[in-house]
Amino acid sequence: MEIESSQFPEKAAAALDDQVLQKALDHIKHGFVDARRTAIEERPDFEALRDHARSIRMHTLGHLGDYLKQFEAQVQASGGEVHWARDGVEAREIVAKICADQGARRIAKSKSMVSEEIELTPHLEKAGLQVTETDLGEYIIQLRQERPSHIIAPVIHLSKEQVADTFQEQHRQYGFTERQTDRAKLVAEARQVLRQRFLEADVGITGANFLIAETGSAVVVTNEGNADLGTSLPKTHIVVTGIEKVVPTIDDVQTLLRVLVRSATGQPTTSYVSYFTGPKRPEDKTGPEGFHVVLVDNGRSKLVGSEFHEMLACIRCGACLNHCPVYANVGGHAYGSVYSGPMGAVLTPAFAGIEGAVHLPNASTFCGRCEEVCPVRIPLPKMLRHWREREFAAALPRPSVRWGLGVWRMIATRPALYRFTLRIAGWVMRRLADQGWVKRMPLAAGGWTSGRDMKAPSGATFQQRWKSAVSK
Amino acid sequence: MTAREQILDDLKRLTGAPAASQDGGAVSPPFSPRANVSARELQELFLDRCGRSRATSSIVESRRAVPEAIGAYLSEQNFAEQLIVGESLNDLDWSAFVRIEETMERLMGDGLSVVTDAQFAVAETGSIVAMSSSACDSRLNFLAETHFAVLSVASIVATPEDVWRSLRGGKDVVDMPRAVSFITGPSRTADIEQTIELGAHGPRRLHVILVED
Repeated sequence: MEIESSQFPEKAAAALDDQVLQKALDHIKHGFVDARRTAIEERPDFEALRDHARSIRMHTLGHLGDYLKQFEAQVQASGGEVHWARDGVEAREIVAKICADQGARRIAKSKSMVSEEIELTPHLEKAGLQVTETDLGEYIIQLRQERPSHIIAPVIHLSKEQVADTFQEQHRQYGFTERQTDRAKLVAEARQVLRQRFLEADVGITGANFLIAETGSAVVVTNEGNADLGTSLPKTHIVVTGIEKVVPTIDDVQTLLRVLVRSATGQPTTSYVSYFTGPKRPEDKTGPEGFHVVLVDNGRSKLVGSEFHEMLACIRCGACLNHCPVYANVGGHAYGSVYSGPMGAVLTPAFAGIEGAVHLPNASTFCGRCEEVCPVRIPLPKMLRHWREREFAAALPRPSVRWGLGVWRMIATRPALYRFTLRIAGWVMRRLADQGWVKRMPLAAGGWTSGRDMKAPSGATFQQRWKSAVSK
Repeated sequence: MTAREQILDDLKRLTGAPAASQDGGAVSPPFSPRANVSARELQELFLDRCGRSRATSSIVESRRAVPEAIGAYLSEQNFAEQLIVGESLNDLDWSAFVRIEETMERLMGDGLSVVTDAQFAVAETGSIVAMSSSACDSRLNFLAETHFAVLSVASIVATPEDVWRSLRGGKDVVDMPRAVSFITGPSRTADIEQTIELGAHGPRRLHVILVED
């Protein structure tokens, strides 16, 4: 997986100064966050659903090979084909070969994070295929030649004006001469352009939110309906997804859907929840003639049984991104990876190696909101801490950081020394303070005050007050 | 070693690790279909949820009255009385309409009204359920600008699990059609500034016609 995560500090700083981005990110709070809260309040059994969802995922992960084999057998029984890919390179070649075997020239693609992870579209375009992203957000970033900045809302970082500019530039060739600024008109314009692509496509590529072992089905969840159009019109349907997406039964999927959509967008369900099982049957009026599922490993099997095992339970809802104070302030591009926010900070080092992603597990205050909102209760802060431990053990942080952590460990493991150091620090801060606030701290602590003031401690420490309260 | 062999091999080896089998027994699903919900209550719940998803609905006494209901909707909205009619509805009286052939050019254009049968409706979510079959061109459900979904009141079930139970027909195995779509309201997107706009690719309007008999 290609990443640019080593530039996180610089990109994050730039993001904080980017007023257009900051305004766009403001939508998260009153959009996804509030909507999720409302949706959950309307569902009194939500906590029980989370427990059930987690148990389904963890059970499956404990028997992943068996369920994948069952899934494969069912797909084959319904006339479809299953392909296995150890990594992104193999996966791309498999998809390209299926397209070549079909003599395909045009592809209608629905949203698939795995396909972004393996950079499928550039590979197919190099092979001379026309690939159209049909999810509106993905279409916009395709036009802008950007990466998505959120796993559910790819263009959450853009303003309406930026979209208008992009359409004005790129749609002129289709006869659209006016710049639209009305949101509804922008959507209508995209609808017109993309309709043509659906009808001309030879191959439809989708991801899968879930794969069902019991029936050999791929479940795809959209609000736009692009996956349904992209799979009912072309002659071939290719599903590209990760090996961890399999779920035992179709009833199990219902619990997962109940928590997925509410956690992602705050809707009770999306406009379209579709189950695709194999190609067209003899008795069907319409449907694709070929149905292919490409199961992508790309580092997933390595996580089984490891410290990061639970991360495989992730159902890609994006709630952790929406509730993360770091993500909400710097956006997804700063992470330099298709997977951003807390889940991205755990997955990116897992798939791309910790060396290139050292900053990501450190971009967290461990506030714990991500774990609170995760529908399958993944202990994300714990996993970020595991990455920090691995980084430290591999001597990856800068010498000054490692030295600082070493000093901290020495002080924090000696209670008397800790209390003494705190008293000194408090005294220094009170000397530096101006009306209770410290505007510039010395040495490494200056990192804090370069961005904000720090309140100088006043009164006694908690331990001092506890001691005197207890002795009374 | 093939990719398949290697992946399954790795999984077999690693799944043996203690960390891989963390959860003890399965937790049973909290949501069980309510046993004693009357058909009337199911219908009300369905209509309420359906409405909240920004679909509209009307109720007719019999299937024969469907064309009239559609005519009323179209003239109220000031739309042309032209329609693509799904094959399973061919037996009804469409003489008041201009029937459109499903050609590529027509499907490309906008302003299409389409009427199809829905096989089930789910009260929990306010969804209609469309399944691919010999009598149903599933593409029609998604290409329309205005989609009329005809549904018998008797096909309203409480939860998606009830739909699967019905497809099991008393056996262990679910007899899955090629495509099953749970459709809840019109097509929409909130990709631009997190504000919902209808009619992203699929229908801009979904009108459910409930048939009582």
